[in-house]
Amino acid sequence: MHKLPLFLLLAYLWLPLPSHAYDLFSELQSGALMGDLHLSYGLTWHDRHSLMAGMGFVASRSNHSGMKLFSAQYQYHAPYRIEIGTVIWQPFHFGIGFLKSDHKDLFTTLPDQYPYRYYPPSALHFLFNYQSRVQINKHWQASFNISTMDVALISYVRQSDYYQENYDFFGLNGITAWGFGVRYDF
Amino acid sequence: MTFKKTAFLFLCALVLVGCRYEVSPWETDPHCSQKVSIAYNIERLKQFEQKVGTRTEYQVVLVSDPQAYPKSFDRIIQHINGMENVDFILLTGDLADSGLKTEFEWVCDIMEKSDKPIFVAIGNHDSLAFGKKIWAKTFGKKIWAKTFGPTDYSFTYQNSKFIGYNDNQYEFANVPDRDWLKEQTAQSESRDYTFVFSHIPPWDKNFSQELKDMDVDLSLHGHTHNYRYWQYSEVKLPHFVTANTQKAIFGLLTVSQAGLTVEHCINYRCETAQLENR
Repeated sequence: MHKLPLFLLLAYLWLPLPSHAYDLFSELQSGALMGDLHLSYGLTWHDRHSLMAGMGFVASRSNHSGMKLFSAQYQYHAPYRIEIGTVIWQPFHFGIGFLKSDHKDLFTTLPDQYPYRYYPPSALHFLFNYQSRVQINKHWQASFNISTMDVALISYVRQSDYYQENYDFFGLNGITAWGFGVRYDF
Repeated sequence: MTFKKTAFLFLCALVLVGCRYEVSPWETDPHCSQKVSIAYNIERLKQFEQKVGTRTEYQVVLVSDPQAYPKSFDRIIQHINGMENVDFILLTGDLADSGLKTEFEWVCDIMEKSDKPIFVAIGNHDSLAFGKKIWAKTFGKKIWAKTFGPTDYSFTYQNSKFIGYNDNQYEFANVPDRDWLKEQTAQSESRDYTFVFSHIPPWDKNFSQELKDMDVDLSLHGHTHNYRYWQYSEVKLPHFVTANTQKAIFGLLTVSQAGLTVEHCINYRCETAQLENR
């Protein structure tokens, strides 16, 4: 039942598209909670909306083995651009999506030893992303990304005054991580 | 360089210093200072004890479950900093909600503001994600151990013993460590009181009886998010359970030669807790 609103939203975004009205792209990211490297593939329509799916990894560390990451994301592109000489800066892109890890110590289905609904999935988090892009040439763009995750954003919304008092940049320093990437438009 | 280019670079630099480069939500090295470690706080309390000498009466604050509510926890710590008779704080677990590095960092940042020594017990939520792996695999090398210290430990203050133990049975095998507890509670010389503290109150009457048989005087906990002060009528070991910190709630234990008093504090107003029989 609760899948209906999501379906309607996707139908609204997707159905009006003529076959030639979308652009395909690929994006490689690092950091901003998306992994050491994360490769996504997606499409943009009406120059405003993008959907993408991707896969990345976190290499093994001294205290945990490596993990693969899987993501899906919707991104909205605000229609602002600033031209600085030959460089075109598109400062505002906002994304929402999820990130799933396949690590054996994390779970999406609650392991048997726990009572029913004892914990939410530990291998799945929703991410909220801000992206700023610089157009390098016709095909390539470089991006700077800032991400936060569900638990951090919820905590910030509930207690924004605490974060503002204790962390820089309106308290966002306490809940965000940065990264960078490149995007190739086909 | 044009003004626009300078402004652009300045903005980039500003943003870069404003947050951290983190590759996933499941990072494992929180930026916590040594001030939160158990070893540091034991040493700090020892120095304090040497300075003040024998105290005929002192107070201990019990706080629990700050998970996802750093603001209230911050306010409580600031308030406790002003409470002269409080000598130290017991924080009985669930520092994090999802076992994530970011959540541990929020709590660490607040713990570092405490003017009093602060001792933590591991909670079930602290064991989620890599919190569990971190602790269970090897002592001293993983997140919990590296940041805070062991999950079973004890210290003595004013001739009373305080014993923190891990009793998160879904997340760890073979806890609580009864043999270790017996070893810790054994009295080679006389002591005024023996206190135990852990995240979850005793899972059953038998364990409560075991603690009583070990001559424990008071058992301190969190986890349930509701205040309770109770004992099994057959066992007669009082258990004080404090609520989570979503509101300004904590427990206040007063220790003196005359006996123990437990108070339940809401919005910084404390009332003597009434012991219920079960």
